[in-house]
Amino acid sequence: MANKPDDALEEVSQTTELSPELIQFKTLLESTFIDVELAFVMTDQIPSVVVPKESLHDLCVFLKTNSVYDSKMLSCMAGVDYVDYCQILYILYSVENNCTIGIKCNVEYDCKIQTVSDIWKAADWYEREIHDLYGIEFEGHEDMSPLLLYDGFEGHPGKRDFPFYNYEEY
Amino acid sequence: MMQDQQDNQTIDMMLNMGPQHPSTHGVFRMELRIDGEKIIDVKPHIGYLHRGSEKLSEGEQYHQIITLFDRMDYLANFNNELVYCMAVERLLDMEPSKRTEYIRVILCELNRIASHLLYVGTIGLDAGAMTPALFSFIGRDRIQTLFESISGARMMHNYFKIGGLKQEVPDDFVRMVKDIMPVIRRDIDQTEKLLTFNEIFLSRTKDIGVITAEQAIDYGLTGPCLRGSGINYDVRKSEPYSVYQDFDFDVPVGLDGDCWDRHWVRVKEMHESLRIIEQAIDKLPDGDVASPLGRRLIRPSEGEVYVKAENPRGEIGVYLVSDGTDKPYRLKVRPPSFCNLSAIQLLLQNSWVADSVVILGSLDIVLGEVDR
Amino acid sequence: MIASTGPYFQDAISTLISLLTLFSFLAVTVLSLVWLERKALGRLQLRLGPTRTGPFGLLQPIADAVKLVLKEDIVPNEAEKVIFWVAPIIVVISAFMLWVTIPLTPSIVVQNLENMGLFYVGAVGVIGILGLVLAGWGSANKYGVIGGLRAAAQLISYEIPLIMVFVSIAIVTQTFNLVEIVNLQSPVPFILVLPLGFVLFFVSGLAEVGRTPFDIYFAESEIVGGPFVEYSGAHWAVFFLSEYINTFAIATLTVLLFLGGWSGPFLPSIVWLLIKIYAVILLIFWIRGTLPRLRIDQLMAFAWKVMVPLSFYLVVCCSIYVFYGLPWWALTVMSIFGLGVVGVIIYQYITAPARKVAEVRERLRLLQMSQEE
Repeated sequence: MANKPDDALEEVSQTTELSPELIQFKTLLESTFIDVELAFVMTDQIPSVVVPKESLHDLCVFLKTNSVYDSKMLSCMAGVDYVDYCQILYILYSVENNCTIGIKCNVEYDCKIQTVSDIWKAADWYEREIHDLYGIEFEGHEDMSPLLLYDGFEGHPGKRDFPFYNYEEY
Repeated sequence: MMQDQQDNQTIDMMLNMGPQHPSTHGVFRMELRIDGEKIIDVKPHIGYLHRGSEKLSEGEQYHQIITLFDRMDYLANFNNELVYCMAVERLLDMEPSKRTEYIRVILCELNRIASHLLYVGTIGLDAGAMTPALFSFIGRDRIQTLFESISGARMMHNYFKIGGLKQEVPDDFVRMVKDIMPVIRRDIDQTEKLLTFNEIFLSRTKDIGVITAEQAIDYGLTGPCLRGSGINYDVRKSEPYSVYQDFDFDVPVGLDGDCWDRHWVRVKEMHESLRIIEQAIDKLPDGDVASPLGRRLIRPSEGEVYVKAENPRGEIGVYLVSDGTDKPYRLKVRPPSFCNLSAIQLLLQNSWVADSVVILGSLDIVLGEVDR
Repeated sequence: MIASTGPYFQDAISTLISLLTLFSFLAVTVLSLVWLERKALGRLQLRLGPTRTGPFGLLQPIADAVKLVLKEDIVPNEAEKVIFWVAPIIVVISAFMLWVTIPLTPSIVVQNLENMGLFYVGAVGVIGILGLVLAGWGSANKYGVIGGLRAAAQLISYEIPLIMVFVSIAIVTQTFNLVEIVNLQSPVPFILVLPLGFVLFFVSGLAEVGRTPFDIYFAESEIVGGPFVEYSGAHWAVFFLSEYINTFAIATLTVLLFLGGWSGPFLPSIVWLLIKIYAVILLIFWIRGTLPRLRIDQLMAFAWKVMVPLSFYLVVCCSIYVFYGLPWWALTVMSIFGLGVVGVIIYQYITAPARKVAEVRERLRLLQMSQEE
């Protein structure tokens, strides 16, 4: 399970043909971000890109201002713990074009990631939530105080190794 | 002169509103910084109802998670169950029968009406009118009685199952729904006519808590809060799920993005929901509603899905990652109230203390869903 | 010795008896009002109201009172103890003092102050504000402070139109004597002579006792009871009592000053008076069941931009009427003219959002039509 995204990626590129939406998405991004290593997968029915965390911010700005993927709304932001690293999923939506795209970014637990709360205000609380649950630091975020957990809570309950029961109550 | 000015300078007052406050709609806390009656700044605090539903569902089997979804948005239980069932069905690549889908839609739309009726009552209470709340509960109670006769519970139904329904609806389901429709329509009119065009209510809500379309999209607002700002975005129309493409209904939108427009959108939505129910009950097909899976353990193959649906409060999204075991690897909910509430800081700035509760009421949050 | 102190002694005894009678009358009245409010609001809201305590729930107010008195009386740690205890007493004493001179019939009155009855009512009515502000301040609670300051602002603002209505009535009748004022209304009640005065008095009366839509200083949904937020048990009951006594006083004054008091055919005068008072009180309850609450800035704007200028206009009208010795319907005409002006102002002010809504809907309809084409 630990290296699942890579397996899935191989599977997609080898066995199945890329859907037209993903090809379009891929062509556009690869022509813009030439020297960045991007991988393209389908998340369910959503064309998604796996992006290294260094160029995440630029990619987000590009997708927000781009005319094809006019992604003005950050619909969802989810963190998934893959033991070695945390994958952060951004689901972007364009109200005008009615299209959804996803961005995936893998972050090691001792690394920081750039905030996107300056691009979408909606990311503000999502990032604080992910910080609570996974302990990911977001660089440039104004206020990283706990949102869902109380002040002084120890541990990160989103992680797989956090116990369901038998932890110390507040 | 300078000395005088310094002496006359006042300091702002911190006013702590919540978590025990009658108008914060649950355990929500705001730190208001006020200057007289004007709000200068607000710092929202959530998490008082954080039960860790997402984490808990990683330890439950797929069937058992439906109960957790009931308890997220506890005013729109059926809608929440629907989106989770759709997510697992997509993961399993299966389709429930047409009859199941129709009954689900009917129940969801009834639940939407019940939820919006409660909203009309609470916005009335927030604005200081006590009668609409009691009127609205009459209609809501009728709907809940109907739910009870179908699922056995007035809230927290646990009625939708993956791939079907828990049991067949009662024999007189069609008659019951048809009987309740005109009564509900009358209840809705009775409730909202007392409030919607009342002059004092208008002066309390019009041009209060304005959020422009751009800001609303930026903050990720969905549902009536976004449509109040004039954006015609409804998941039922833009990406029809279940059987919503079979029905003819309109999406009401506001123009100014103030509290009154959000209120008006919700009132109109109740009538549209009634239209959907009318069409659905006429077309209700025969068939089986039992899930082909029965009570078997579900082990979907590895994969991930993102499913979204239109809740009374906005777009709910479920991101579900499966690792092939009988429990989900990760389940993330995109709660509409959470995003709607995040705009509270923008909405409350430079408003009056009295408006803070009206604005909060017009966002129509459910804290069970904000904190999960 | 006894003979020499006799008249004073008798006076003291009779005053004491009448005060006790007044106290018990008001207590019973408050109980009846509590029951009536619960029942009337219940009926307005399509529910039954109290039914389980006695026939028609008649014993409900007694159950309420027993519950309140038996509750623990909590004083917050940070509260200013003396102020906290004194504030409810100030409020309730001012509410009772008001009643000393209000006549229920020409004979049923504790002490009819012949030269200053109306003046006394206006003067004593202001004392209660002090109690509310002190209650808010003394309980060391921010909601309480906001509520107390709101109460001060609201009550002082609405005191002005109220007193101006008293002044205009005094100008018209040339007396402060309440019994005399009622007797002067025997052919034509003052509601016909001074319709503007009636409206001003009723609206500012609602604001004075803090009934909906002016229940701003203890708005439950925002500042959770304002000055009363920290009070519990018997102390809260005292506030409750004074609130109902004040409501009853405003209704009684409305009847005495504008609706002809106890005059009416067939029935005894006290029955007529009570019928009229309870009709006004039911009107107050009806308004409470119907309307939302105003905001503080809207309330103050309404007071200073509409009520105060109009009350001055009323005084001028009355002076003109008395100076030129015009017939009484001339005053009616002037009064209705003022009411029409204020009607237009309020209509413009209050329907501005409604008109905007209508305009918006019209724009939306045109937009939809153009899209369909």
